[in-house]
Amino acid sequence: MWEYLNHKNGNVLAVKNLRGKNKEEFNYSQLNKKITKASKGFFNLGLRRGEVVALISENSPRWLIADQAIMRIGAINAVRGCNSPAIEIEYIIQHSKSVGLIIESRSVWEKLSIKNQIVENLKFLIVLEDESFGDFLGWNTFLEIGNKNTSEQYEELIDKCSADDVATILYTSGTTGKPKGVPLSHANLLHQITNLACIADPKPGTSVLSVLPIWHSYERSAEYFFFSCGCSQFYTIPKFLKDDIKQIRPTVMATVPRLWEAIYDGFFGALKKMPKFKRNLIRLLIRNSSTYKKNLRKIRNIDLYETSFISKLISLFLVIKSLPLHYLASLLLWPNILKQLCGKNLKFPINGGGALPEHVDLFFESLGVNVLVGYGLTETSPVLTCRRTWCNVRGSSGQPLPFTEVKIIDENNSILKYREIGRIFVRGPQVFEGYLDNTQASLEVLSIEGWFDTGDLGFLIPNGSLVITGRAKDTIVLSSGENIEPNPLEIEILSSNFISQVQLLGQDQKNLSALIVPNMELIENKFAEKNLLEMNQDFEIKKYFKSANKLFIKK
Amino acid sequence: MKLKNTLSQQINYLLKNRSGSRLEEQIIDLIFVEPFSLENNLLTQTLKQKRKEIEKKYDCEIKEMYKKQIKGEIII
Repeated sequence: MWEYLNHKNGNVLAVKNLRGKNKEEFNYSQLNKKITKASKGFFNLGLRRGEVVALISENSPRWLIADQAIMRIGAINAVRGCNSPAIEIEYIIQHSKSVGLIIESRSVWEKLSIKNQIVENLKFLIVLEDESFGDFLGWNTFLEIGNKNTSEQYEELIDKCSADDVATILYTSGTTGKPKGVPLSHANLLHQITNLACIADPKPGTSVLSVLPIWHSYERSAEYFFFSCGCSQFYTIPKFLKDDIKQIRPTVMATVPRLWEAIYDGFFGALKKMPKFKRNLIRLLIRNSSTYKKNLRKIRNIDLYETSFISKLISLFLVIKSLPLHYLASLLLWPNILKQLCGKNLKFPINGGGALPEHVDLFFESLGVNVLVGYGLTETSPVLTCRRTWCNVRGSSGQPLPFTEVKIIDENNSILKYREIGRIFVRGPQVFEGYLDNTQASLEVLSIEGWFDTGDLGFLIPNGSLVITGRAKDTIVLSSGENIEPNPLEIEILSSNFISQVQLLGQDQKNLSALIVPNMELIENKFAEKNLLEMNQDFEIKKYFKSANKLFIKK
Repeated sequence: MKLKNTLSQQINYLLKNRSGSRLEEQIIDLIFVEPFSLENNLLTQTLKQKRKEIEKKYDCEIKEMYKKQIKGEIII
């Protein structure tokens, strides 16, 4: 792929790091050369087809080069971010049987505790953004190794690679400290690269702002796809998103609901500060545009629910009524607001990782931004369905990608009709073949015919769009896209004597919260000693906690 | 209300010190509720919590709580 891109858009800017330690940028031909060099480097270090390298780092051009170089010689990488707990990183390195370790910076290494045990099994260690230290090769030292000549074996190795080889192992966020490894093959990823084109078709040189962690399957497939289109990727971090979005004016962005919520909140925050007249005018105009778009949708039959003929007539009336104002607003006002919010070039705002709240969705629709919401899981590389620009049913997660089958079944395994809620099963070339060394977990989710149980609940509407209504599993997905397994946390919480039952909440919300069934008896007891309840400091709580423990035991 | 604060601090303290804990694993608020039991149909025969039913029962309170959170943030 990189050779082809080199020929086609060698001089187009491929990737630029806006905020990292090393603010590098490469065009496609430079990038291709670097990847070749790095893959020779890995070869010279003894990495061979089918072996695994753990890659613990956030986005950077160097990450991309290392990743692609590893894949080019048919080796596999197991990826994770730097902020994961040490115990998880250690588990991933050992569970994936890595022969090499690449980390972003020294600090990652310093937080690990079983260093010797890890080093024993490794052929090489590389640090991406820092200089060489200890057993670790710095990035530039490593690339030097790639300058040395390679044997003929190297070419042979590349020829041997096939699409069915595993390309990468992603680990699901496992709150238990034992995440499940999801091996994805080149074929899985290639399906995404070739078929995402039906959602967005950016031209070479289009700017893409990427802000999500690259070790998530969603950002990863999206990036590969954008590179395959010859886009220019700009890496940033959430902290600087607001500035960079105005500077880069991206045409395409892969985002999570949280980002849209933040823009939405920011807008209404700013609105509050405006003079009253202006504020009310803008509010009125937004409401007007919302009515216009909502009813237009009903007429065009791309609403979630069926609309009768009469309500269509009403809608038609409302559309005509709100048209003049909407037209004016979208001509004069909205472009300016959008420029402030997200750069006016945004053409394919893609949203995944969770459902977009309805009010946020409608707000952006009113301003003329058609957010494309998609649906998928790590196990499915990840995109399964996505809304299209021409069939953007608000509230749904869109139609399936090509070659992807979706079925909704009830508890008795019979297939349900349109608009009946059931468990979502999917089948297609992007679905993985089973968890790494975990046959039992694989059998639980994959059937012999290749159907994958997503664990989500939803229904289909007649135009093929999928609507997600909830999860059959207990997993809580926050609006940041972070998955949380509530059970182990709840068990931990129950270790408090004051709490007899607990349920964590937070699906599609910013933060977790909890329903608590307090142990009334004990609390009433304690209420007598009021002072204790006023304690706030951590260590004091600990003390308090200890004394409470004693109390409980005495009873 | 003090009890609420103390408890939620205690919970966050427990969560923070769990091995392999993550930043997102902190609660921002909590609601006191009636015990989940077989009688009120919030437990299964195997005494597991019926998460869906529980959430449905306290739907209003939960929504109210999150609404408060959003408002609180804007003021800050």
